[in-house]
Amino acid sequence: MGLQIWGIDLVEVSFKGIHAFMAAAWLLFDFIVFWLHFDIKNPEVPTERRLERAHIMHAIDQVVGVIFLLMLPTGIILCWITDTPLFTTAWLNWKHVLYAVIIIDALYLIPISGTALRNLQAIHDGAENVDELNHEIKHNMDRAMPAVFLVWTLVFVISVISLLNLKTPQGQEYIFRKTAAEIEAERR
Amino acid sequence: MFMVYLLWLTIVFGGFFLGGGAAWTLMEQGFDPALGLMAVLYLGCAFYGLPRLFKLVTGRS
Repeated sequence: MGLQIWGIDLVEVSFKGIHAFMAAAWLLFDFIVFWLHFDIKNPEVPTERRLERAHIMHAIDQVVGVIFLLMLPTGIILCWITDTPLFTTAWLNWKHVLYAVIIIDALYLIPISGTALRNLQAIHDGAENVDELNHEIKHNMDRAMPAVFLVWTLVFVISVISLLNLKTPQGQEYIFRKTAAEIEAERR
Repeated sequence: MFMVYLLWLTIVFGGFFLGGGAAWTLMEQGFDPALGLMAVLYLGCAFYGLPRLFKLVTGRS
C-alpha cells in the first residue's frame, strides 16, 4: 500500500491496530457482560438494580455483536493490504475455521440474548409469575455459559495463531516464524 | 434492526465468499482439511442464513 511516513505503512499499521484492538475489546466487553450476569440472575438482588444491570448488559452485548461481525470484513481487508493469500495460507484457513465455529456458537446464543431484560422488565411491571420468570432468567444464562466460554477460548486461540504468524510491516518478514527464504538460505 | 441486518448480511455474504472460495480452492488445488472444514461450515452458515435474510428484506414473517 502507499501512504508511508518514516518507512511505516500507515494504512497497514492502522488496520492491524484496529483488528487487534477489536479482538481485545471483544474479550473485555464480553468479560464485563459475564461479570454483570451474576447480579442479573440472582433473585435476591433488588429488581431495580437487576434491571439497570440488564440494560447495561444488553447495550454492551450490542457493541460486542457489532465488533464480532466486523472482525470478518476487517480481517479480509487486512489480508488484501498485507498481500496474504486468503485460501492458500494454512494458518489463516485454520483461523477462519475457528471463526466459523464462533459464528455457529453465536447463532446458538442470539435467541438467548435479551431474554433476561425482557423477563426482568415483566417482573418490574408487576407480572404474577415472578418465580417462573426468575427461573427462566437463571436457566437461560446458565445454558449460555458453556457457549460463552467456548467463544473466549476460540478468540484466545485465534489471537495466538495470529501472533505466531504476525508479519512486520517492513519487508513482510515473520516475527516468530522463519520464512521459506530464510530456511532455504540456512540450508545453503 | 441495524444489528439484525448486519448479522444476516455478514453471515450470508461472508459465508458464500469464504465458503465458495474455499470450495473453489479445493477443486483447483486438491484436498486440505482446513479448506474442507471452511467450505462446509461457511457454506452451511450461508445457506442457513439465506432464507432468514430473504424474510428480513421482503418483510415476510
